[in-house]
Amino acid sequence: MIWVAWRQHRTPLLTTGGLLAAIAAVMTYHRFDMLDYLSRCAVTEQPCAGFHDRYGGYLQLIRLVLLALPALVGMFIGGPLFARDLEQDTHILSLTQSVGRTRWWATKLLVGGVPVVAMMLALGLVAAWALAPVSELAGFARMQHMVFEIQGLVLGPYTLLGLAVGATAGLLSRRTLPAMVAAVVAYVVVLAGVGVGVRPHYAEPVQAVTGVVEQGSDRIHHVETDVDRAQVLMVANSYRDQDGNPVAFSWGCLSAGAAADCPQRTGPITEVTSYQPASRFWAFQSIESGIFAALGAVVLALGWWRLRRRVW
Amino acid sequence: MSTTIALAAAELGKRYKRGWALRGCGFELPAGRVAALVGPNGAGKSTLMALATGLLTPTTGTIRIFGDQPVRSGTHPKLGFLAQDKPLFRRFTVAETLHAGRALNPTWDQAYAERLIAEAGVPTQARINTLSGGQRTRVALAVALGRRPELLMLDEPLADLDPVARDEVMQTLMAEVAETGMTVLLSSHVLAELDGVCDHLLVLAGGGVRLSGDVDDLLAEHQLLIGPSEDSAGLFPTGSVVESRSTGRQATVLVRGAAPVDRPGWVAHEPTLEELVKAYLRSAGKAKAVAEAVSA
Repeated sequence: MIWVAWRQHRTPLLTTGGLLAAIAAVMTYHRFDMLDYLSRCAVTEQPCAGFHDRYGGYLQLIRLVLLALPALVGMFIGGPLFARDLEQDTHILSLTQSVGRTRWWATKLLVGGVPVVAMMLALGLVAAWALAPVSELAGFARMQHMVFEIQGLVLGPYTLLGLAVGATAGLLSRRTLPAMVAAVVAYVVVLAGVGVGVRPHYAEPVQAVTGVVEQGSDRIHHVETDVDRAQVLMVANSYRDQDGNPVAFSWGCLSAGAAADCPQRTGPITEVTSYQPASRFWAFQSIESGIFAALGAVVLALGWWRLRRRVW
Repeated sequence: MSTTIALAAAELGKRYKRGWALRGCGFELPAGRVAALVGPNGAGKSTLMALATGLLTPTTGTIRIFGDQPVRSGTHPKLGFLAQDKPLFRRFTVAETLHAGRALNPTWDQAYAERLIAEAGVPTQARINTLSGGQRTRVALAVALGRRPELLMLDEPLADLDPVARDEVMQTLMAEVAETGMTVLLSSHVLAELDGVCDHLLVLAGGGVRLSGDVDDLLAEHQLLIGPSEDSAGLFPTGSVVESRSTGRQATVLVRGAAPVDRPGWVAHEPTLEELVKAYLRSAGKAKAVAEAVSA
């Protein structure tokens, strides 16, 4: 069965492998090129203002590619993995030899899918290394949305989920196209949902006082802190009265002649910022990887369970 | 001496969401026979074969291959199956298709499969999707036979072939049967394809077995009687009439097991296989129509 699965899926596997290797090579080249540029402009003590002109395009493009890759793999590797067999009835050929359903399913996943997950995991680690020179650059700080997702441990588990959804949807729907669509939709929805709704709460946020509104004032005075909003994952801004109780504070209260019920009428208000510091990057990567790996496993288990009672 | 039973069903039933595809099926196919599985479309022929391979599990009853019930870890090693439309991996070459057969079966006779391909004159480096329907059938047959089955089931193997290819496929099949002595179950809804080839018959209609047995015995047990139509009522013992049809003044009656009818105006002869099967299928169709009319 291993040989059959390899023969069936080798073309997409080799294509994907080649593509990912090329992306890794491009990123490696740019890592050294960026380091070289940064060291030269540091030595000559000229501002490195040309950096954005020189590398901005590459960085935007690589971000887009790395964000899209798990969805593309889910579509083109996961979607057809079982659905193509079911469309062409070749599952009947395989399953009427000396091979049972579970072995057929597991072998196709292991040979046709798992190598791509492994390759994507490796690519994520290469990306973390290759993007390290810009990891503190505004817009590419790695704790932030759309940057966290393109490097580190998570690319492997993201791919696992996309692939699992594509493969399982193909098993249930028996059709390649709906399976491909399901893989993309599931990846986008889950990633956005986790990024916005879950990731900020992986750990208790750090809090810092970042502003003060004096009693009776309609101005906020920003407090100097070591919180760099461009580097951290912002969780929330909240406002407290002098006793530390949260108060309702709207932007209307910062306009001239603020309403009489604004909280600063009765005392000074402090702005408290909750955030996840950049030092938690790898811890958050591990947690998010665990979540996506578990989701992927659940989807695969669902497919296996359906496969056993499937009518063919 | 008891004969070996290659395929046996008892109270076999399969229900899909839309209803029963097979119900209360019972038959025995002795080893060494070449059996025709005939019935109209939707009679349950493919369902029966899928149950034997283990692709489907029965809702009721049992099906046994040489005494064993199908398991989920693959099709019974003594059973070879050629599915409808002969699914093969389209992008594989012929040689790779045989390699797949070897990879999927611990008992695989590569030399035999290669010989069958060579005899068919199919180039081994050709891709499956470039082959003609006849060539594809020969490759699928080589894969099914490469397992060295003792029972070979073929689901509508001739359906999409031209007349020349049909003859070639049947000749190959019969040559292998003669050489190996294997049992064959061949489904078709075109009876003419099977006449003169099969020595055993299994008629399936409306999800049930209407008739099963060796062809010679079945033909000997039945009589086709032709006589004046006004005379036919009450002439034969109830229960023995399979089907009675009248066209104008002439009645044609198929009777099972009755004593010779000695009455002026009536002639009796042994039915042909086609007459026999058609009479059973028509009577099953009528019974179904009556049942539907009653329930409606």
